[in-house]
Amino acid sequence: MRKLLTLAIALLVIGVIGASTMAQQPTLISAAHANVRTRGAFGSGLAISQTDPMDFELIKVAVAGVAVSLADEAKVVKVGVLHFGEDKYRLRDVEIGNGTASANIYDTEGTQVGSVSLDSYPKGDTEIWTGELSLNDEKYNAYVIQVKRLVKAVEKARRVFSYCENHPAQCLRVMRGIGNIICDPEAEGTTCRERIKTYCENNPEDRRCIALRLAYCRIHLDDADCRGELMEKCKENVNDEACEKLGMVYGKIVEKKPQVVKNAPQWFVTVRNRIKSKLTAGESGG
Amino acid sequence: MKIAGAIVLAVLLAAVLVSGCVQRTEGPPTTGELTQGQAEEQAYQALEQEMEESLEDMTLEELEDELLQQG
Repeated sequence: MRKLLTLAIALLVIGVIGASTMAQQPTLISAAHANVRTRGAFGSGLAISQTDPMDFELIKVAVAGVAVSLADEAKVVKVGVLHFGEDKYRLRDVEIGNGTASANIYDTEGTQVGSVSLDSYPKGDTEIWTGELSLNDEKYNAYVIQVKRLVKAVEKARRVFSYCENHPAQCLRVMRGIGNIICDPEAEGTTCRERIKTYCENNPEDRRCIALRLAYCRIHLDDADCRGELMEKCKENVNDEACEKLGMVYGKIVEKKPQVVKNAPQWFVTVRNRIKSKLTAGESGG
Repeated sequence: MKIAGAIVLAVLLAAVLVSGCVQRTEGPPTTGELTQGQAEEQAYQALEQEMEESLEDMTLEELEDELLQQG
C-alpha cells in the first residue's frame, strides 16, 4: 500500500513539474510582436442593401498591412476585419492600393462568404470610402468614414528611419533643404540613421523631421495615414509637390465616380483643375 | 479506502497533466521561424486590438452627424 502511495505521489509531482516547465516556456506566438504599418480602409460606416434601401447595417472595417516580427525575422502580412452589425468576419486576400482596398470575407469557420471592394476620396476634412460589399449572397453599397490615427512619436520616427534607409541621398537632400543636417546618412550609414531616428523620436516637431515624414508619405500613398498627413499639408499649401500626387490618386477615383466631386475640399478642386489644365496643354501642344 | 481514492485521483491528475505536456510539443515549430499562419494570427490580433481602441461603437445618430458634417 505504501509503495502505491509513493508511486502516486511521484507521478503527481512529475506531472506538476512537467506542466509548470511547459508553462514557463514562451511559445513563439507570444514572443512575436505585431504592429500595424500600412492602413487601408479603417473606420465605421453603413452597408445599405442594393435592392432594399431600408435593409442596412452598421459596419466597421479595418484593412491593414501588419508587420509581425520575431527576433530578427519580420514579415508584413495584409489582413482585415469586418464587423457587420454584431457579426464578425475576417478579411483575406487583402489588396491595398493608392486609395483602394479589396478583400474576400470569411466567417469564423473559415468559409468564404463574400467580398468587399472600396475606393477612397476626400470629403470635407477626411476620407470617405465607398464601394460594394457582398455578403451571404446579398449585395450592399458600403460607406465608411476613415478614422484619423494618432501616430505615436516612435512610429513617426520609424517612418523617418525607413525613408533614410531606403533613400539616403534624398534623405540628405530633404534635410539640407530645411537647413543644417542631423548627420549624413550616405556617409555614416546605419549610425546616422539611428541618430536621426532617436532625434526625431525626441523632437517630432523639428522641421527636418516633419519634412522627412512628408517625404516618406509622398512615396507611400497606399497608406491612408500618409494620405491624411498630406491632405493636411495641402490645406496649408496647395502648391506643395505632394498635392499633385494626391490629386492624381483621388482623380482616378473621381473618373470612376464623378458625382463624388460634390463637396470636395477646396485644395482638391484647385489641384484637379491644375492637373486638367496641364493635360489639356499637353494635348494641344502635341 | 480513502487512500485508494486519493491514489486513483492522483494517477488521473498526473495522466492529464502529462498528456497536456505531450500535446503542447505538437504546437509551434522550435526553429524560431514564424509560419505564415502564425504571422497572420498575430496580425489579426493586433488589428482587432487597434480596431477596438480606435473605433468606438457609433450610434446611427452619431454616424448621421458625422456624414452631414463631411457632406
